Amino acid sequence: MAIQVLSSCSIENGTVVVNGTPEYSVENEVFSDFLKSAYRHLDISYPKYFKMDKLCQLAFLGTEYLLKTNDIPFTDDEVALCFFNGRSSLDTDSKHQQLINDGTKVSPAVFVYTLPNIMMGEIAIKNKWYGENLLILRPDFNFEEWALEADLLISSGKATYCLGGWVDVFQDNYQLHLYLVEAAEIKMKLTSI
Amino acid sequence: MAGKINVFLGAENVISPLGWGIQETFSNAKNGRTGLKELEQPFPGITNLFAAKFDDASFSTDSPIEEFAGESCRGSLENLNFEHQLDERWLFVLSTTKGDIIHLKNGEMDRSNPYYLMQQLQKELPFESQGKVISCACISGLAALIYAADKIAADQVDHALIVGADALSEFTSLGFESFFALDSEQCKPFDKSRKGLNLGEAAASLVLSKDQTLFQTSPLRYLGGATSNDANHISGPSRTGEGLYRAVDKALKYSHKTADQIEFVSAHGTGTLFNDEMESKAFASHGLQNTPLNSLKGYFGHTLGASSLVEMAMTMQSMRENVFLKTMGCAASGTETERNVLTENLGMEIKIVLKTASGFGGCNAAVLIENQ
Repeated sequence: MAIQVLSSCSIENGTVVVNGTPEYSVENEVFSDFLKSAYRHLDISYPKYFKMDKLCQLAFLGTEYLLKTNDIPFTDDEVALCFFNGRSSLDTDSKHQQLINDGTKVSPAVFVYTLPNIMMGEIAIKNKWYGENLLILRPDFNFEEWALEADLLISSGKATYCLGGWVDVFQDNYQLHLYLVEAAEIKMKLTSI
Repeated sequence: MAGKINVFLGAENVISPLGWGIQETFSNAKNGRTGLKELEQPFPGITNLFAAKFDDASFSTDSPIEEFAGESCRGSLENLNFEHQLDERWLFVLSTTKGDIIHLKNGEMDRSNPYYLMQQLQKELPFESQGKVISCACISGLAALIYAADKIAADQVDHALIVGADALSEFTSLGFESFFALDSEQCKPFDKSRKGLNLGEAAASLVLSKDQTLFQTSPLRYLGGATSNDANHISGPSRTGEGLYRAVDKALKYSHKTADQIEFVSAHGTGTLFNDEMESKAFASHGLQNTPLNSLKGYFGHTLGASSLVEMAMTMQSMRENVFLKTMGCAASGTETERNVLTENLGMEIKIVLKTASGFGGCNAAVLIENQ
């Protein structure tokens, strides 16, 4: 593997773990409440967060927690976003479909979130990142396979860093495993010869 | 690192309301026909819709998209010479925004997930393959193309079949209607009186390979491609075209080409006020204001995850036949920024083409291909 992990963040079962260390944890909080309390714990002000759907909120939180520990001065093209996701935007799709089934007027504010790649848009906007975007749907997460995609984006010269991993939301089920990676140092490659 | 692996592309196919297969579709477009028409009560909640929709009688199952996407793949594969290639490393990519979303109405979550559609299509292929679904809004098709090309160039796979497909649904029609993004008549991309987009459904497929001998007809060459984000707004195009400018800039860099070598631009051109203006600005920033350009949305409507592959396949056909299609619906070119929009079919030999797409989430994609 020609990449190395600079930072990581996992969010599941009411717990945010950053670089292997629990950063925030609550018990018995439903997902929508957890999304609010974990945001408050970040202590940032970003009103757009409250317009996002749950998938975007989770991806946003994961990215913010991960970046908190990082002081790399990214330039605006050098971060590629590469996400794996399991159930697409089906959580919000179901809300839009329910409005249709009920004969109620549909909402553009809901409809715009019926695409899973919107979460990359939200992250790009927050961080002013103009780099590559890739979203792959698959049933489960596998770090090695994700690392292969990140490695390709970096080794092909399309990005210096790749941020992404796994974000999946459906109803009250959620899981996030994010990584920030860069090319492994030359030193490591030399010693492996 | 091993020597550079060239990536070839061919076996393009389109299944659309304008024609069943690339030959029929291209011939109909060349003769000035469109797949768009006024539909009365296409869905329970919609009385009128100007869109491109297959006749229901074309399909025999409750999954039209699986049928027309499968048909597109079969058509592409019929244009290949298989020998040892069947046993080599294949990648199969479905690009879609909503997959078989019609089943969500009945709460069928698994079938509504695009991954399910990919698996159904993959089962029918004559070779073992890695199956992937790429869902990046309206750039999905080019994102899939770039992904597959990069995988081949990096020697991770030998060949790739990519198919873009999206169906016209109540789900997306009502959503776009709520955005006031739809034109109730024929859309007019890049026209000064453009009012919005039309939706459509289609599938398009093509094959990428490191191996020229795989193709029955001489393939084109993939030069390079890139995606970018506007980092500006999730549903509105950037006013400046900054993101698209950067995607084109990077695609040029990876292709080792300069903007003045681009001889034709196959644009996204949805027919909305802001999108077409944004594209015009991005192209002008690259000095492409005099380069011939078209949008094919007036023939197919906006087919979302299929659109950029539909347009790529049609443009590949143009490069083979030396006929570039007029921008159906555009009578008088009119964005604030100058461009050279084709309003009549144009016969010319073109070597290098730029294809672009932009979509919700602020994403953009650009690809350069070359006629060898």
